[in-house]
Amino acid sequence: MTLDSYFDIKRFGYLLKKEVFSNLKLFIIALGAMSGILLIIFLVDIIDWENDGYLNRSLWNNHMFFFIPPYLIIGVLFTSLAYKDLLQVNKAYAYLTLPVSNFERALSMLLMTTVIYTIFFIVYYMVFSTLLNGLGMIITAREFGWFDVTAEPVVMAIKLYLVIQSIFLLGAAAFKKFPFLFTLLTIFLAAVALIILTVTLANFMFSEFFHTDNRIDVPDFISKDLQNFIEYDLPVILENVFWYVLAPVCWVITYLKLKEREI
Amino acid sequence: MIEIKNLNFSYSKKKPIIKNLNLELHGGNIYGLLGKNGAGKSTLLKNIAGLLFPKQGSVKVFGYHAHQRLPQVLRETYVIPEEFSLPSFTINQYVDIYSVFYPRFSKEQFYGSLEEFKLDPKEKLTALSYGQKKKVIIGFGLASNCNLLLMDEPTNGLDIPSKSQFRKIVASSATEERCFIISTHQVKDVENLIDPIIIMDRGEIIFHQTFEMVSKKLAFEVHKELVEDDQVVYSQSVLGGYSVVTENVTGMEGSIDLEILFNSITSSKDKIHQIFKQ
Repeated sequence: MTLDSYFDIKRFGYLLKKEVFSNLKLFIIALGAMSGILLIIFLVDIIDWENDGYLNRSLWNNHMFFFIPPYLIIGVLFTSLAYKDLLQVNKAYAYLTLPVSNFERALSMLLMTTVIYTIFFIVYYMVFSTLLNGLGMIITAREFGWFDVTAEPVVMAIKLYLVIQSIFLLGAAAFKKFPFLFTLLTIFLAAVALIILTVTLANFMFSEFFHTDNRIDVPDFISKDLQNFIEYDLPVILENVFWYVLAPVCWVITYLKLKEREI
Repeated sequence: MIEIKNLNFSYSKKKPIIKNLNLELHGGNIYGLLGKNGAGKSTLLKNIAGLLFPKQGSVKVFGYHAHQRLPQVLRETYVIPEEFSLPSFTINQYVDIYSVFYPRFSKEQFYGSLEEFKLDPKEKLTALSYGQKKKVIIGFGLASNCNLLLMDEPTNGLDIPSKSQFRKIVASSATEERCFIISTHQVKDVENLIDPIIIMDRGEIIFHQTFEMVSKKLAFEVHKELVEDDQVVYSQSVLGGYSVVTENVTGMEGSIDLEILFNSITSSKDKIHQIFKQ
């Protein structure tokens, strides 16, 4: 097997073009629906303008309410449908026998649901919010805040999206039915299992050191170093795992799931 | 081109679909994979296409394990499934987007097939009937010039004139390098097209012979009366008498009725084996 068995730039370009064309309709429908909702909220807000209510003061001036939730929600929904062709045997035939590698199949959808989606959404939002702001200025004769893509909350939302989408991308490759709902359910069950496990272990090992007045005696077998590690280092490690390890791990598992996918 | 060794496949442990199957298929042939419903034909095709993975044994296509789904194998393999779904593109858009993946795709050949099937390339795929869609992917598969073409019940959904057009374009697309496998239970539709014949029954290959060998070994006759003879392998009543299959002892090669051959093999497997062993 040669490198060509895994990746070929020309072939990958063809695949990406095919994916963009195939998903364009879905993209446009989602953004159309979102535009309708935003327009309604905006018009309601304009009506309320005289009262100088909460909406027009805080929402349209920093955009965070209108950018971040739709960006995250549409993003995970779109990601859950990344391998929609695999949900139907009739379509899975064509998808799995298309002359591309499993790596290219995984990478194309990773790019589609991260870089391409994010660029598409930002450009859309900039254009749409500019139009709405213009409309708002005409109606109210007041200045609105422009959307700033470099604002810290926007950057943070993109970073958060990359982590969340990796879980939903894995769900899209792993579940044969309702990937969005099953991914949500899995996240919920995993969280519940983790909480139960942690509480049970803590109770079992340290119950005698907990007091009813919220005071905790550090057991003798926990050294000062270990205590510092648990208190200061561990949260940092876990935070780094969340931000920098979770997504790549999920992407790798997505590739492996695609590789072993049958119909 | 295709090398299958000791293939075992099942969806559950209790019910094997394919049992210890061995098979070698070569270019320059249009194989007819025949069998009753549930014989394992589609499952075998899916294993060859890398859409299902062997539970035991191996399936190699162009020297590579089919389940790896390598691009160098897939660009030489085109699958025409029985049930399929096409994107909401026009035929022209579909060709522009998908043909680039097949290095020897011939647009001229494709549009020639469309003309033969009387389809307008500007039409949207989702607006076409099932039969028309099938014609599009048959035309696409043949024009891809892939060396391996797997067709699962390709004539299902085609009207009567289209079935003969299908036979015509498939026959004209066959070359010494290409291997076509047509899986069907509608044997009449592929008569005079397929050679050799492979018959599957309950996950096993019970017959694999060329037409030449069949006509050397078996004779197909129609009698007014039912004849009782040791040489009669199989008989069934037909309009105006009985269609009878006997061992060909004269050495004269006659015509073959594919449907009668299929019925005789599935109902008199042992007798047929005895004849072909000699």
